[in-house]
Amino acid sequence: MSYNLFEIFKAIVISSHLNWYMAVQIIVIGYIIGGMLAVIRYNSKLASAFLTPVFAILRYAPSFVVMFFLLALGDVEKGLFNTGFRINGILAVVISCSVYSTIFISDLTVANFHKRNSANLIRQFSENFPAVLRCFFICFLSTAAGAAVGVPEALGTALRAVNSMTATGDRVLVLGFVAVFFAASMQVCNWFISIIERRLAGTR
Amino acid sequence: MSVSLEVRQSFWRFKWLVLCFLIACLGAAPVRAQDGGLEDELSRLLQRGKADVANGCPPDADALARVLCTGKLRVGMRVGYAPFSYSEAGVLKGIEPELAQIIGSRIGVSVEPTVTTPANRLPILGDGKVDVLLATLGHTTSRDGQASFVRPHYYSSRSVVIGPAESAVDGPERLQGETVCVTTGNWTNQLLAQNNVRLVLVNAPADLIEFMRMKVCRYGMQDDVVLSPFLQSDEFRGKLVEYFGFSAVPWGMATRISDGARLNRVLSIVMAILHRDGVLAQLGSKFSVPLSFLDEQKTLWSGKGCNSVEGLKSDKCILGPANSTVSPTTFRPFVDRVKGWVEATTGYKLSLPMFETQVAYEMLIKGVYITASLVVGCALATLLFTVMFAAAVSSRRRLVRAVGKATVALAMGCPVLLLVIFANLITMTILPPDFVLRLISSMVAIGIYNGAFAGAAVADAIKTASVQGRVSIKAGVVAAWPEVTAFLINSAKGIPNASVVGVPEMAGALNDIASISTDRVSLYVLLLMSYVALVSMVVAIAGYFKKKLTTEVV
Repeated sequence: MSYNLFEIFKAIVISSHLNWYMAVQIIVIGYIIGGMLAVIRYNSKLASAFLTPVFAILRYAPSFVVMFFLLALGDVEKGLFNTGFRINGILAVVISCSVYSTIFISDLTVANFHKRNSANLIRQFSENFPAVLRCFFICFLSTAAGAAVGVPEALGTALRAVNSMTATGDRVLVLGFVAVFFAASMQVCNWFISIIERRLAGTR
Repeated sequence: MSVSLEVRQSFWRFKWLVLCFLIACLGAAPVRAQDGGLEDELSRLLQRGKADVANGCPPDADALARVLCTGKLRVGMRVGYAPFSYSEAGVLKGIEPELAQIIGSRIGVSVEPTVTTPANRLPILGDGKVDVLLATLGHTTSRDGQASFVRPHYYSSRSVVIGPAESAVDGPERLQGETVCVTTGNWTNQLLAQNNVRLVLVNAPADLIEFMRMKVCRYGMQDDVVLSPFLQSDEFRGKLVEYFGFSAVPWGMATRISDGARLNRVLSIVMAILHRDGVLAQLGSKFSVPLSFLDEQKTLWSGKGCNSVEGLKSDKCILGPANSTVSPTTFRPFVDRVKGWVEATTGYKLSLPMFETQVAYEMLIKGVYITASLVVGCALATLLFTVMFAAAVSSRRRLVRAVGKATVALAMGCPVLLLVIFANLITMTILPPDFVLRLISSMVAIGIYNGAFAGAAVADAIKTASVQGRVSIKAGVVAAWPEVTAFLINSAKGIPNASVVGVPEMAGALNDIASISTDRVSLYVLLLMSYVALVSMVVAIAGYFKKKLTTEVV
């Protein structure tokens, strides 16, 4: 089969929009649910006592397994609870990674609430921003797990291209490109975080 | 003399013609009687059934009486299995819906279709929600205990493996570590799973074809009837080919064991008539499915040996089920008791396929062993790469430091799944395909990923402490032990990624078991619980070492 490496690289970069799209959803869910849970945990000792072990258990569940579990839920043809609704690959990735982002943001916010002795969510939004941005990038990397369930994101697109290749050199080139692409994205993100941290340090 | 010879010769010719005519008449006479045999038996059974319900429908009526009484034959059918049965604008189309209509008209009742899935078709029949299943149901020895199959069968197919034309695959052992798309519930999947093939499960054949089109899988396995039109399409002709197949499985209609005996007998006669008259062959031809089985059956049932009521009992005329018997586990009775207790207590039908058959149980045990070795291997690899990266990043030599930093940045920025696939590709290119090598390459990849993060943390600790003087790597590891343990735990969480390259750890093993089972939820619940327990164990061990190290440092 004939293929154009440049076209494949282009397709990988374009399809990475799905990774960003999923990562944004994960972090938004994390912010909303994690923030709410943080307020509950800070104000109620009972809720805190209940949620702490639940979070510990959830933290130990590998996102990869959670993703497969979600995909297996519901009847094959009748959907979840016979509603016709099916969890697709993208949703499975978003939900499985949201568990991580929710717990991370909730823990971070509760710690800051205790430090400041007040439960001001708006203030936490800006204070947590660099850490949440780091979490966002980790989630961006984690969304590549979607390739295992057929989500056409950057790694998934690369794997499909690799599946149709016969030359090992080309396969290595394509996977190497994805590795460099993700690593470069991380470096840009780190640089961005350091700028924000410096700005925030300057304003305090 | 010559005239008398000619007369004598024509007499003999005439005599032979008469003889042939007589033989033909004698030979044809029993055949006609046998023709009548099937039709007569059918009408006799139907008349008796009608007589049973002449005074109303008794509540304890059997399936045949119920069908004749209500005037409806409730048929369980599938969708998404073109050309056998598929839905178009909400209407069921294909060979099976048309066959159901033909059967209905022969019995003199209307057909009421009910959509079933591979997972629920047999329970729906068992619950009496349908009278008969006509839903691409393969007749296997293991299903014989769950339903009564109508014979003669209406079709037969075999599972075939397809893939790119440029690859040469002559058996399942050559697919080790490769990705093969399969549909759930197909019992031949276990033949691939036993060869460490990575199975990607899809719900329906249409999804499998879509996954092949999207190149999610390089290879696919399904019934030849489904894949044949796909291979002959303009899009894939010459690009995808059939490599090898497994033994054929006859497809049969099925009735309930408890009250379907008479209905089964009626349907058997109808099927024999439809084969004999070539109705099924015509139907197959209309929908362009491979006709070899249907042609064979037509020849068989129109011949002298089978075209009779006795033919329905003869092993020469009807096929047996495909042998899919798998030996149960030694503790199967206990498993059944637990399932029974759960159902009686909660009403929930628990499914534990991994403990029911020996094959599935062995897959699970193998998965547990491999997961355990991966936990240890990944932890060791993480520690090794932590030390290596920390040493490189804090090296005094500028070149070593630069290379170390670049490698750490690259590893930290790569999704772990990509690293696992990359390491596997490199290993399989340099070394021959081997399951142990895949295992080791996965350990190395997970170790590199987590070791990069932990190594960076150790290097930071060394940098901070070195203000007061030269600091050893060991002291750096001790100082950054909380970060190191966090990434040791993370390495255990990353183990399921190895399943993507065909390492049958627990996620892979349960995925393989799910491929031959009809229930996936309970399997994944178990998987989730197992991994949570496993990671908790790693956390506890890491906590113990953390405590010990802190005490030593103090």
